[in-house]
Amino acid sequence: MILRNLNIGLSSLLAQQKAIDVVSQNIANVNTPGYSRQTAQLSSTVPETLAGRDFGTGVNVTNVSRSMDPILAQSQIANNSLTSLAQTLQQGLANVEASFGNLDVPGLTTTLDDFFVAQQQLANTPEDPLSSLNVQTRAQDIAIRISGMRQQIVDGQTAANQEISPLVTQVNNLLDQIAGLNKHILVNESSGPSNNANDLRDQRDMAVMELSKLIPLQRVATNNGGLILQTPGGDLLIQNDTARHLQLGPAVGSSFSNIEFTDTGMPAQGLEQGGKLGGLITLRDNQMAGYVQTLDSLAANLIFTVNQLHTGGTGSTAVTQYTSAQASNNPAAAVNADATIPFASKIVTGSFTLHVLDAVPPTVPGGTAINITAGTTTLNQIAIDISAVAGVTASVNASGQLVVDGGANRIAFTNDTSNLLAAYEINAFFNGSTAADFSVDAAILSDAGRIATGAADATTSTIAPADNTVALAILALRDQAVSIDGSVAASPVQRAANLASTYGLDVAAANQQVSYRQAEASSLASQRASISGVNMDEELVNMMQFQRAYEAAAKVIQTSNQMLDSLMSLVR
Amino acid sequence: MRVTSQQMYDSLLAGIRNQLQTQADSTDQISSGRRFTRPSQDGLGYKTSLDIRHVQKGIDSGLQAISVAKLRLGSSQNALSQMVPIIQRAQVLAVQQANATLSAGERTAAATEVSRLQEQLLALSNESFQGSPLFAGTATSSTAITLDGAGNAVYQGNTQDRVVAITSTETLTTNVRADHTAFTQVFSSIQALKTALTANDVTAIQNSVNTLTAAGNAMTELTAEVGGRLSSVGLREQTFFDMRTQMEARLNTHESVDIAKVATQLTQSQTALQAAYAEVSRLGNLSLVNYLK
Repeated sequence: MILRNLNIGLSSLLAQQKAIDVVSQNIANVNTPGYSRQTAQLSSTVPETLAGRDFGTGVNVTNVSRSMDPILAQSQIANNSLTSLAQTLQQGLANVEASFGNLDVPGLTTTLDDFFVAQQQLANTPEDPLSSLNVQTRAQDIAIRISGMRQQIVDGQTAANQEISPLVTQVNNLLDQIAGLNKHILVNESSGPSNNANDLRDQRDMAVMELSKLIPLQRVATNNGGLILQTPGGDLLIQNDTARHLQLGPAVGSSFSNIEFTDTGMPAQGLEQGGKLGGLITLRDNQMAGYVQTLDSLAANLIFTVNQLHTGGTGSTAVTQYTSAQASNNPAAAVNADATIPFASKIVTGSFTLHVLDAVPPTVPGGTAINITAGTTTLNQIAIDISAVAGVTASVNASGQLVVDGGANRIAFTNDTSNLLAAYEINAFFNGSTAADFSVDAAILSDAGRIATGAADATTSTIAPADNTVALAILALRDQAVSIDGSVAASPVQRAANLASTYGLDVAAANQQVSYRQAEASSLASQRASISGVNMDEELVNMMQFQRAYEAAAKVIQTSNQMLDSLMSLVR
Repeated sequence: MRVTSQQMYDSLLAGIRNQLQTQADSTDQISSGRRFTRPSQDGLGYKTSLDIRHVQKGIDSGLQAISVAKLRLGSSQNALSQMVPIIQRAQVLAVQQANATLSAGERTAAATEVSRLQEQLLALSNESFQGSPLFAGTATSSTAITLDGAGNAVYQGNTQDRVVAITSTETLTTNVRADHTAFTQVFSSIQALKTALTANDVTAIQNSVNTLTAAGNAMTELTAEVGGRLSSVGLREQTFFDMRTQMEARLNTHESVDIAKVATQLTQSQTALQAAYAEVSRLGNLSLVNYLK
C-alpha cells in the first residue's frame, strides 16, 4: 500500500509539472497574435479495486484544451474581409482626390464656369478680339483640366490593377501555407485520440485571418480537424491539404484582366465582395471606371453639343478653306456608318447650307443646301455635291479628311440638320470624343478669330460682324440639360459637380464602412481576448495552485518514504 | 466577462486614435474656417457649394453684361437726347421762315443752317460705341445712315438688334436702330424743310413745321423709351445685387464652421486624450507580478 502512495504522489508530481508547463506556455505567448489560451485538463486516473473497495491511483493530464469560439472566429474572418475592402477603397479613393480639386483650388466645375463666363462676354461683345482670345484660353483650360483629370483617375485605376498581380501571388502562398498546416494538423491529431494540435490550429487560424484580409472567404470545418475554404461564389479554394491557385486571366481588349483558377481557367466568383483584392477590383472596375465613364460622357456631350452649334457659325476671320478634323478611312462608306468617326451614328438624314461669299451680294444669296441621306450619302458624294457649287471645290485628301476650298472666296456653313459637320468636325470648336482625346480645334488655337459668334444670313448670306446668335446659343448650353449618349441629361457644370459629389459620397461610404468595421473588429477582438486571451493574473494564480499541489505531492512522497523507513527499521 | 490586460490596452489605443482624429478634424476646420473644403469631407455639401458658386459666377457675369447693356443704352439715350434740341431749332427756323415777308436770300441763309443741323443729326445717328456704330444693328462694319444724292437718309445697317445675354437664357435688347420711324421722320422732315427753304416755298415751309413737330415728338418718345429700358435694366441690376448678397449669405451659412462648437469639441477631446495617456502609464503598474516579488 505504501508503494501505491508513492506512485500516486509521483502521478501528481508529473501532472502538476505538465500543468505548469501549460501555464508557462500561456505566459510565454501572452503577446503572441492569434494565440489561444490553453488549459491542462486534470482528471483522476482509473481506480484500483482492492478487497472490494476502489482506491484511487493518482492524477493525470488527459487533455490540453484550447479556448476558442469557432463562431467568433467566423465573424472575425468575415469582418476582416470587409474591413480590408473598405480600407482599400478608402486609400485608393484618397489617392485620386487631388484630381477633383477643392473649394480653394479651381476644379472642373470652376473651369467650365469660367469658359461660359468668357462665352457670355464674347456674346455681349462679339466684335472684341480680346473676348475671342479669352474664350480660346478658357476652352484650352477645359481641355487641359478634363484630360488631366482623366489621366489622374486612369493612373489610379492602373495602380490598383498593378497591385492585383502580387496580391494573387500572396493569396496563393497563403493557400499553400493553410493546406500544409491542414496536413500537419490531420497527421498530429490522428496520432492519438486526445492529441490536439493546438498551436498548429492557432497558426492555421492566423493564416486564414491573413487570407481573409486579401480575399473574401467561406470557411467550413470538417470533423477530422480539416478545413474547407470557398469563395463567396462557392468556388473551392482549399480542401484539407489541397489548394487551388488563382491567376490573372488574359486582358480582353482595353479592359483589365479577371482573376481565374489556374487549374480550370474559370473565373473565381465573388472575389469583389471583400478583402484587399475585392477592394482593388471594385476600385478598378466600378468606382474609377465609373468616374472615367462620367468624364468621358461629359466630354462627349460638351464636344458634340458645342460643335453642333459652332459648325453652323462663323467668326471674325474670313475663312476660305475648311478641313475636317476627323479623317475617314473609308470615304466610300455611308457617312453615318463610318467606324472611324466617333459621332458618325449621330448623322441623320438632313442637310447643311454652304454659303460662298464670292461677291456683294453673292452669286447664290442664302447659300446652297447640301443634302445627306443616312445610310446612302458618302463622304466622296458630299465632296462631289460641294464641288458642284459655284466658287468652291471639295475633295477627300489622302488622310481621309474632307477639304472644302473656296479659293479666294469666303465660305460659311449654316443650318446643319444632318449633324455631318459636327460629326466630321468641320469648323468645329472642340475635337475628340472622350476626355482622353478632348482638345480645342487646331484652327481655333492658332486664330481666335475662328471662334464662331454669328452666322451667315439665311436669305442674303451676309455676315454681320456683331451678330452673336451662335455665341448666345453656345452660352445657352451653360444651364441646359442635354444628353447625346443615353446618360441622364444634365448641363456640363452639373455633370462635373455630380462627379465630384459622387466621389465624395463614395469616400464617405468607405470612411463609414472603415469606422464601422474597425469598431466591429475591436469588439470581436475584445470578445476573442475574453475567451482566448491570456490573463497574466489568472495564469500566476494557476501557477501558484499547481506549485502548491506539486509541493503537497512531494510531501506525500516524503511521508510515504518515512513510513517505508519506519517499516524497514522493524525488519532490521 | 473575462478581461485581459491586452483588451484594456487595445481599448485605450482605439480611444486615443479616435481622439487624435477628432483633433485633426477640428484643427482643420478651425484653421480653414469651413466645415469642409474637399469633396471627400462632405459629398452632398460639396455639391451644394459648387452649385452656389455656379450661381454666383452667373450673377457676376450677369452684372458685367448689365454694365455693357447700360453703357450702350446710355450712349444711345445720350445721342438721341441731343437730337431733340436740334429738331427744336429746326422747328424754330421753320416757324420763322414761314413768315411770308422774308426774302429768298434770308431763306437760303436759313437753308444753310438747316444743312448744318442735318449734318449734326447725321453725325449723331452715326455715333460709335466701343468702335462700332451705335444705331446700325449688328452690321457694325458700316455707318448707320448715309445721305443719298437727293439728301434723303438711307439706312445702311441691318435689321438685327444688339442683344446682351445677362444669363445663359435671358437677353436684353441694348440698341436702337436708325431704321426706326423716329429717325425716318427726323431726316425726311429736315430734308423737306431744307428743300422748301431752298425753293423759297412758303407753303412747304409751313407744312414742315408740322412734320418737324411730329418728328420731334417721335424722337422724344424714342428717347423716353430708351430711358425706360435703362430704368428696367437698373431694376434687373438691383435684383442681381440682391441675389449676390443672398448667395454670399447662403454660402457663408452653408460652409462656415461653428467655431464655438468645434473649439468645445477640441477641448473635450484634449481632456479625453490626456486621461487616456495617464491611464496607459497607470495600467502598467496593475499586475499581480508586482506583488509576487
